[in-house]
Amino acid sequence: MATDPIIQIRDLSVRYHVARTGNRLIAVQDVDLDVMEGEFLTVLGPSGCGKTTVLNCVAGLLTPTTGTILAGGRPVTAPGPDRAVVFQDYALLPWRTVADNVRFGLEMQPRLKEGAADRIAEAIRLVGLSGFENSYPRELSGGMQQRAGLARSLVADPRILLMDEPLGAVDALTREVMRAELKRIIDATGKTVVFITHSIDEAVQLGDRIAVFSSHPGTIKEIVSVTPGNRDGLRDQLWKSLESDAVAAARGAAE
Amino acid sequence: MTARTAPAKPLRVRPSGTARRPWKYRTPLIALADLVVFVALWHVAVVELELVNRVFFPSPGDVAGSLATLISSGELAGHLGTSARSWLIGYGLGAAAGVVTGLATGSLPWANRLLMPLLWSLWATPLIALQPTLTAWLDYGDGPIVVLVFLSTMIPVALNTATGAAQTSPSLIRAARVFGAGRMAVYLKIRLPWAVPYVIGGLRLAVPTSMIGLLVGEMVGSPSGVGSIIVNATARFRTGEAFAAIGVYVVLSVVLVRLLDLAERRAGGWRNHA
Amino acid sequence: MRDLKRWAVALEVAALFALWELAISGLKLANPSFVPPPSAIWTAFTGMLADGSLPEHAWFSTQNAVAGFLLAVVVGVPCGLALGSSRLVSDVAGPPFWTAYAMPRIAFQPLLVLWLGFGAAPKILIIFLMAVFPIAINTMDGIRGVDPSLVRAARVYGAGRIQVFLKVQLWAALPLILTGIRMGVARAMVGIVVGEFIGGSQGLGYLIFRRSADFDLASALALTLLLVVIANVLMALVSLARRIAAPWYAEGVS
Repeated sequence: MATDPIIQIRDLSVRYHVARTGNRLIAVQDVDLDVMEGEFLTVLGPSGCGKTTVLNCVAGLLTPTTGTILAGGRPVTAPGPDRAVVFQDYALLPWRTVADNVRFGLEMQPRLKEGAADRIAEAIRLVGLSGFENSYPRELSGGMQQRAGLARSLVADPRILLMDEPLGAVDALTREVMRAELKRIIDATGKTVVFITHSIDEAVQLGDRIAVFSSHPGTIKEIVSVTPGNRDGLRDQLWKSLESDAVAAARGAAE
Repeated sequence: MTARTAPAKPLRVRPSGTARRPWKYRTPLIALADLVVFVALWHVAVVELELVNRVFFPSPGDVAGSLATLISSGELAGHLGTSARSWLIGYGLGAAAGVVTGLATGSLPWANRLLMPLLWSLWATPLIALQPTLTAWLDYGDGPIVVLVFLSTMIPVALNTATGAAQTSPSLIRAARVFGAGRMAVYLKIRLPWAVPYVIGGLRLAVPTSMIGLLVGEMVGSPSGVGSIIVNATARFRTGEAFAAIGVYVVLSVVLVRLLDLAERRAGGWRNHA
Repeated sequence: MRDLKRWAVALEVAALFALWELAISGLKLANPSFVPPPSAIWTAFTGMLADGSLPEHAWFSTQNAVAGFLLAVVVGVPCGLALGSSRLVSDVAGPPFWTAYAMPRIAFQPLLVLWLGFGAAPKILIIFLMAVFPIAINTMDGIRGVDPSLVRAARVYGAGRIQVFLKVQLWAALPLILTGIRMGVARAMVGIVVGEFIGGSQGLGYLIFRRSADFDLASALALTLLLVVIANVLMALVSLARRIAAPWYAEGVS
């Protein structure tokens, strides 16, 4: 069945003016990308390659220099309830408990006033935080904070989940557990997901398709599909594809 | 499908490194404009409109005239010399005592437990309330002033230094030990450099507090010093002179804070490149 | 742990007083009328309580302090909010604000007395001037220091400018606003004392001045110690208010 993609990105470029040097920095150049309904797309690339910029454009937090983005067929000009974001640094409000943080995902949408309590309880149960409703973020581990962030993004039932390295700030062991949890939760809700990561393992393990980014300027190098059979082969292929970029980035950082 | 639109314009949340050029040159200009407008309004209000009695509230011209007289008569230089001497002695000794106390308090657990609460509680206290008692002990003149400046310098410097020394990275201390540093070397090569930005922060905090100590000392119980000009001039309704003396204080404290800001940026440079 | 620390401080202070008493009354290291021992200070304190001089002067100071300080909060917090959240306000009003902040404001006290007389008005005004700046500046820092990623998150979930302010910025700034109020308390205490030192005939500051001029140093020190206690109790109360109003805020050095 051929349907229109739920997210369509065409000719997206973002340039910044760097005040200190007076130069223009090209963060993203000529990105074209389609994401299908119900798809789990991972965006893989070295740090600083502009993947987060693309995500912020889709979220409506950043206006592109050129190009267009359609979400659900409508042009993106601002954040909207059809798109929720999970942030790398969780971005939970420290003065609110878990339940109130989750409620934040509903508050600005009067149409969801009714049955809010049930929605919140359901979202918290889904991410496995039942019993921690009244805890403050600082009382939770990184992994649990990100579960709360996930619940907040799910509570208003958006069509699209945008995840910006959501597991980037948690420890390695928790990351393993959380990957499996994420997969379970997303499968249970059937959301369309755009998931940014710099980990090849994560991209391969979670994604249906992988968009590989290269840096300077940030653009899509290739898009590969993941099938149960080709996971191991894909790891090597992706590493080869990213190696030169990664080495260059490491050199750049060292200098 | 493609729409060529305006340059990247972030929606309210500004990604780091975005343009802020037009603002860069605006603030000093606005400050200057503010100053000109302020002085002009002041002049008009006092001289043209005569909104206030000029005996009680001088015009900008009166203040400038009084300042010129104070300078040419040598009166200002004499008082300024007295103030500077009291301040330098008190501030210098206070800074030295503060750094030593702070290093000890920050690095020795027992000193930390013993002294930190006392320092905090003294920081909360209006030390100038001691002025009359100090005057009774040390007589009128520079003695009580130097002590007030000393105390109001030492406490913020000690508190800040202690905070810095206590937060010294333990792994740096371990590393120093591994490479053969003894107790003294750990102080000199690790704790002290680590605490330097905090010390400077404390010295900066101490500028206004020590100024308060100096001023109160001079206004309440001293025949000389810039603070005494303010009191004596006001008592004789020479408000222009009082304003001029206050102006001297303003310039002094702004210059001192700026100097320490500069020192802070120099000494704390390594912090920003981490 | 916290309670233990508090007791340690109390013990420490008690030990200091005991040493002081021993040095003066026991070992006669100094003339007791020149350096009064704690026992003499306590006697002076109860004496001032009994003859009514302390309550009367304390009441005068308290009235001024409350008036000046409330004024500082009512003016300082909105000013800080405006300076922190509007680029325009901080460009236009910033420079005069910072200049006033850099000024040694107590230097104006003799002039305030000249303009407003010897009554309560100049005292209230100097307390206000001392307390308002730390309150406004901390409020401003609080608003400016809000984690941009929280603002981003609020926008993603549909918050407009006003909602971002009400639901994110104001809350994020609350601990710093209370920190500013705490610093304001300390500065207000300085204002009380200076206001009554210069051109005063009532109040605790005046009483300290008067008694030490009469070489009644036991009374002067009793009043000074009373101010120390009051300052610390007030600061502790504001800290407590911050713990209650902002329980999520892990206390740092402030």
